[in-house]
Amino acid sequence: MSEILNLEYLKYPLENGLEVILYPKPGIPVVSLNLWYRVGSANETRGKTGFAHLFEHMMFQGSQNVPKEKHFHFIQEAGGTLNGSTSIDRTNYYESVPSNFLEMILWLESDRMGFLLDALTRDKLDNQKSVVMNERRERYDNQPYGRAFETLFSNLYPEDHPYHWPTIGWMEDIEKFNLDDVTSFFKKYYSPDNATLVLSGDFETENAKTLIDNYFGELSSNGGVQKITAKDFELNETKEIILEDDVQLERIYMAWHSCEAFHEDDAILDVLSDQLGGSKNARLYKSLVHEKQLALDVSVFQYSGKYDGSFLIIATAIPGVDTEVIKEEIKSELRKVMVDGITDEELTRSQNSIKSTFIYSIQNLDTISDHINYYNFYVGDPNYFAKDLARYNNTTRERVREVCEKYLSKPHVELKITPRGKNENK
Amino acid sequence: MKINRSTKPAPQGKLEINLPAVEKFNTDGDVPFYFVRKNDLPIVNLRLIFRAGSKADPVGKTGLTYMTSMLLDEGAAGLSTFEIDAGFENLGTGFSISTTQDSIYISLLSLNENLEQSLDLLGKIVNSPDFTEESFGIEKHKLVNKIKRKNDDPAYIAGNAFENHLFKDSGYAHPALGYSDDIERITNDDVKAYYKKYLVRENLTLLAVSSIDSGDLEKLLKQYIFPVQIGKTAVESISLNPEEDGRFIFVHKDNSAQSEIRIGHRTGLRGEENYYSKILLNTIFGGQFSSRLNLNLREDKGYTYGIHSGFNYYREAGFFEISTSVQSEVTHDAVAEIMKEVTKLASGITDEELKFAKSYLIRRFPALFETYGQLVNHLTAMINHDLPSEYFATYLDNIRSVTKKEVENSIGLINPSRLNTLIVGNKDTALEKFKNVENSNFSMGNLKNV
Repeated sequence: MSEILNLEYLKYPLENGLEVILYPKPGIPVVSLNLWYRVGSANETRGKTGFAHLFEHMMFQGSQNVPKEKHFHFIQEAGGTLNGSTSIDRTNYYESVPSNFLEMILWLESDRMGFLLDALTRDKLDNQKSVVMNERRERYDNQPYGRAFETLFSNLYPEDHPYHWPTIGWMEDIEKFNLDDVTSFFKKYYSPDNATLVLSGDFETENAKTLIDNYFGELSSNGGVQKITAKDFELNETKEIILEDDVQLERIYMAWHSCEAFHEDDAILDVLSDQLGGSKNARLYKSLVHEKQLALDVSVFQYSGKYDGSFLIIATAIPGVDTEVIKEEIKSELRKVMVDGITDEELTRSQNSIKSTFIYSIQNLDTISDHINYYNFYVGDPNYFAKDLARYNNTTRERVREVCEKYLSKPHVELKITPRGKNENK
Repeated sequence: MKINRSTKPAPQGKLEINLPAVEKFNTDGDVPFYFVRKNDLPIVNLRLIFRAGSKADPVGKTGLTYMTSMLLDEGAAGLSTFEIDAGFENLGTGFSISTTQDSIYISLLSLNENLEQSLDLLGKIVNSPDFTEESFGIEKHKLVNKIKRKNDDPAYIAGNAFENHLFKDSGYAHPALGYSDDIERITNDDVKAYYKKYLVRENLTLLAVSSIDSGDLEKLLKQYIFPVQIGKTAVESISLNPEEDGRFIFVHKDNSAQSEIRIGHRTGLRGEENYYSKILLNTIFGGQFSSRLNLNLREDKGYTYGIHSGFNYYREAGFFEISTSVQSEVTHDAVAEIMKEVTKLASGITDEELKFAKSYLIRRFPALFETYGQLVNHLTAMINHDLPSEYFATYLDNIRSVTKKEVENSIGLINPSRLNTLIVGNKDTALEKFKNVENSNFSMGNLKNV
């Protein structure tokens, strides 16, 4: 099975520092282009949150040779699909098109990497600020429990920590951005030497190399972006927060400070999260949802980035059940893992399901391209699929017990989202 | 080499398009079996479709189809729900059951090496569910609370309320999850009776996208899935009331930061001839990012994060729907702008728009078959609407041959006076400017009833 996960790729830099990774994959006549810029919300500062994401929107507003609305139009006309996304660590842009349109997408991506500012206007910025404010309303403010994660992370991470604020940004910050912000952000971060271009799919390598060199080779770089630092920190005591929302069911969130992505404990925490909440047999699911029927659902995950990470447990209470009772049950299940560990059977189950997830995940070219960039960014090895899987296969029962104790016995942030007005009656 | 950036590079060469070949045959007597061979990975994606969806829920017992389907894997053939789940997880097999208005889907994604054991479990679930009182009690409780949670989501409320209005008093009027009051009335005997009546061989269609041979797969299916209980097709056709003139319905939800808007009315069935004209029309109007609606309301006005329209199809009904969510304060302006776009349709479409829409639909078509799951979903739609098995093979020609005149003829299918407008939002900030809506046409929806 491991040969399926081995990708033959070619990685090389252009003279201006742009990193290029080619993964030829004959098959359906489609090519997928995936660009990662090494800038995310972690690069922002207080008062300027949400800018990496707002800027991502501006990248779809046209550039020197591409009129507004035409970036989408040209790719869609070619039968392609496209989008972009911003995370805490990076911003990505991707499109896949029939393979004979390869040159066109290289033209589009290079035009906005090199010549975005030539087409920038106040109207475009105002329009996209309004779109993003509506995105924030739709996905966070008008969404049940939608403000949970930003509340959790801004309480877990200290004020000067790069993961303290949400990627979408605070509304009052989004409102304030001006054209100078766009210009200086572009000059600082959207430089060829701060990006990696992955091309996958049906293409001839020599032709692709020539085209990439033609379109991207002449763009100039600004010589390096300052590295981010995240100071280590510890919570001295557990913080308890209550947030009211327009919901009928109370929900409890518990968040612990854990470790960054690809830290030696990272994959083990993933396995632990599967043991606790990943299936019907998972310990918290079985106890909270099925046996004791205290919760409607439970989810558990390790959420890690380049600089830090957190481990989260979330449960929605059945009406009439106090989330305090749920919390005690969670703690008691965690203690069991800390004392007795997990069984061989449990570990094997997680490992088997993770293995097949890896195989199912390599069906789609866009996903493969993005994964190549992901591995390249976090571990410097585009072909890390099999090694990543090995992280899970090499997990032991003792290590699961160990990380559970190491991280989850510490103080944490506890957030309860309650129906509006509920606390007035208490 | 200095390149010329001022013009868009032309495509390099022409591509050969290979569309998946769909085999259709009958298995085990007369169960239709749709099969597509796909060798990219050593996996099989299998789906059982039972023609029994929430439209078959008895009056006053909405949610019965959903309850029944959810209980199938809560214990079967002596295995507990935990043993079943652990079984699939150990095999690395993805297993899911879902309920739609027209059908129940039971799906399996398995590695070839574990297919036989996965089918063994699947056969037990389909043929020998335990339906114990204990599981029934647990799942019923879960469903009622799940609905409570979903009913906090304004998009869920809006979608349900809108379809409830379009299809009132029919099997399509209620959401597949059902209504809480109805679910309280359902008994375990109802579930058992539903299973006996509807999950029968004559209601079953099989489909697979598979890296193993159809013959080999069929042998395994015969061994593990059949015999599905014998029985006659039992789903009755639904009957729809005649549609009235469009209404304006406002559902107040406290503290809404946005208004969820749905605008539309009933239209024809999926099998009708003008299907391809309608697809092209909608592509231009609101079916993708570069559509008239999105370029206006998002990229020009900034009212919304996105707006979409579509002709939607159930097996026995269809409807046209525009959906978006906008900042509360601009609700009226947004609706006015949408209506402006609807009215503007009457002056037709341009040659460029049609050319773009055709190019978009034709060139993206091969990429729709990239993953096993995508293929399964396309086959499912084909089966749901009784489309011929050469549907994929003829799709491109069907799009190519639509004329501008035909697209413009289909514009008349969107009738401004019949459009219903439903809004879920905050009445204090969103409703004020709508005071011109005629009283006879206006109603306040109630959160409790949706």
